[in-house]
Amino acid sequence: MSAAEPTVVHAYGVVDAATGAEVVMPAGGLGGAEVQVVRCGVLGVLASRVSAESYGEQAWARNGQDARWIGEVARAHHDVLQQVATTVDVVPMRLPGIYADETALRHVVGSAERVLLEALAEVRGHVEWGAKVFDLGVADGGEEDEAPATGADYLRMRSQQASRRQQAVDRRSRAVLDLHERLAHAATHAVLNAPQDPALSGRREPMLLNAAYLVGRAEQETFVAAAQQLSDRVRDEGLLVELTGPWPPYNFGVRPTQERSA
Amino acid sequence: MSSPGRVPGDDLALVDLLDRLLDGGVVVAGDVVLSMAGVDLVYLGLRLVLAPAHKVLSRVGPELVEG
Repeated sequence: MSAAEPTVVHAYGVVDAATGAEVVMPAGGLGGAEVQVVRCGVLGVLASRVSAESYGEQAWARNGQDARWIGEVARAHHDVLQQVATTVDVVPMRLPGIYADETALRHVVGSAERVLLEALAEVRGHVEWGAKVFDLGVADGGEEDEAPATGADYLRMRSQQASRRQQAVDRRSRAVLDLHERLAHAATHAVLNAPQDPALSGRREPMLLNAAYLVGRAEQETFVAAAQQLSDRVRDEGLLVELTGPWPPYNFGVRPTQERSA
Repeated sequence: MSSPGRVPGDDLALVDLLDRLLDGGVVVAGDVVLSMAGVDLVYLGLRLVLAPAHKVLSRVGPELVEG
């Protein structure tokens, strides 16, 4: 990127200005750009100056529906946050996090300072873990029935099958709820997200739970052990638990409602 | 077969990432200065691109309602 090329500022996340000085900067951010801490009063914002042509508003308008392009931006954005979040408290910024320049960024961050400080307080000392539960549907209780002798037998068998299936569904629902409650108990906060569409999850099986948990850095071992134990317990019910983490705390800090009212 | 709109099968974490970075629940407004007209449409568009057509037809209504 030549010095004369127009640039925009891409922001990754917000840190305490005090800890911002301690951040070991990731080697490269979006498009390989240098990552810096932009000082905004008591807050610092991890940000890069990037090519406006490649990552500015027009680029988003042009590529905003290209999963591959967004995937690359999301990965670069995440890589920066991930490297920082293992040791430093950071409130991730949502994509697209583009600003005309540092002054514009400071203005926005300054006007949201109270909300951002609250967000930092919420995530302080924490990372995020994700848990998804898939319904493998193997526990439908389907022992082979004998061939029905009469029409009445057939209807009775059908009714029993339906009842067994319903019982299995109820059992799995209770198991998922119980698992979530126990994980939430082992975490500081929990958020339930909409299950991913099978086309997005890459799995045929329906997703029953898509949850995120805010877990203290020091509590991670306990949390993961609990998750593994619960995962073993629900496997017989035909439930598959997928645990992901640690993540930067994407699901915590600033809520969309606060965003709008800020 | 290459299908540009789909998330590659060996790259499933990307879905979790986009789930977090694009699909709500998340973080600080980053769109204030360059007022990105139609950003929500971008998100919706991405979901449409990622989902096969038959899914879109059966799902887009309720999702729009739920916002």
